[in-house]
Amino acid sequence: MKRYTVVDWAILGLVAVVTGVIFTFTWNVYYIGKALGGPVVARALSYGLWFIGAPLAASLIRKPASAFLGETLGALVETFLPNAGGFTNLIYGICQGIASEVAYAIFGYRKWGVLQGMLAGAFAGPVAVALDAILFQSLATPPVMLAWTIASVISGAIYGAIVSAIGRTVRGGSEK
Amino acid sequence: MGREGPVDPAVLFIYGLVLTLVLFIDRDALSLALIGAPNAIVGFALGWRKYKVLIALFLIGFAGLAINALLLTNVGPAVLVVGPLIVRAGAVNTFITIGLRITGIAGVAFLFVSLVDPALAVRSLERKLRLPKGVCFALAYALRLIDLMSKDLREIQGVRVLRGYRSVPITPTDIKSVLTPLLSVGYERALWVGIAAELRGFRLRKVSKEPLRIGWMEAIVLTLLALQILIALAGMLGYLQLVVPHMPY
Repeated sequence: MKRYTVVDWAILGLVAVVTGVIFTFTWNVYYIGKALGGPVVARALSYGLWFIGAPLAASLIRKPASAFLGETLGALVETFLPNAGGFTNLIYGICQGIASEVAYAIFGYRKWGVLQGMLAGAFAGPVAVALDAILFQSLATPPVMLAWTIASVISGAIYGAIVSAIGRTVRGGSEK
Repeated sequence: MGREGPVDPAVLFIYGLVLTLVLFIDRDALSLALIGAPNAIVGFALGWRKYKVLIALFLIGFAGLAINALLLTNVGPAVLVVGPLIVRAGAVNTFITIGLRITGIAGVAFLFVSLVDPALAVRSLERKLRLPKGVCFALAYALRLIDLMSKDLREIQGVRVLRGYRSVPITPTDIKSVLTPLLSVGYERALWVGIAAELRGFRLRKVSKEPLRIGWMEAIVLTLLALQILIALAGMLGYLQLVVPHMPY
């Protein structure tokens, strides 16, 4: 297992603040969506943005557990910032981080490219939907669950690919 | 060294996390009301001065929740008829249960952010809850960066406006064009902060461990937490029922 240097922790801090601020901004999208169409529409609109911590951290640090730490630390920063989600952010962050980590683990932690970022975002989607089903249990009817799952996977894949590409540009170098 | 506030941040962190988990899994409306309402009242009252816009936005969102409940779970016997609209028991039950749960969670969140200074909370997590020092370094660095990154973001938005683009990113392309320069600057900064911390002997730094501060306030908070867990357990196991007195006439 590659050891984390202080530079890695500082980069994780950077990812945490960027994702924490974006997550907090996403809460505004969520509030507007919720007022207009309820939690169902709000979540469909904002899904992918919640999953960017993992692919961004992984593409910048490229070490095992970086995806998990990126998502979890972003969620922890978001917990410290005022928003209605509070500690649910941390619960979601930990679970989504584990799911995103799988995308890099299945490639043996040797590839950190756009494809892996896309998978990391997509894998976080069903986990978020499962947690939503617990949180909004009566609203999670089968058609809604299906719509949520499709929306979350597509949105997660799009934003995962985008932030991985950004991470590669910022860090420079190849996918390996 | 700043003051930690009326309650130990680590104790409030435990309170917030455990209570949110309880509210997350609780399915009983009565226990959700007994736990959620007091936390919401205290949390919203404490947070009102600083976060009134957020609290107002949260409360406006209940209109959307009502729409969702009516569209998705309007089943069972009719409870209310308003012209052509028939509100059924399923929609009312969904609105009440989910409303109480998210209100309780939001109340706990505002209670925590109103009483705790984030920087002191991170130090408390490291020294009292034994969170790894690398994780706490990343968190502390992130919290210190917020103002700096906000300034960078405003400059990027200003440049976007000068170039004729929208300042608030909406599409994925917008987000990419905002994030790339923001991260480039931040990455360079993080690299040098990391090198500087390494040279100052971060790896060798010993974390001074401290026990949790358990005074009167902490004891009250932990007792309230235990009480609320018991209420949730009683609700989920069916031991909690609302008894409406039967009127003789």
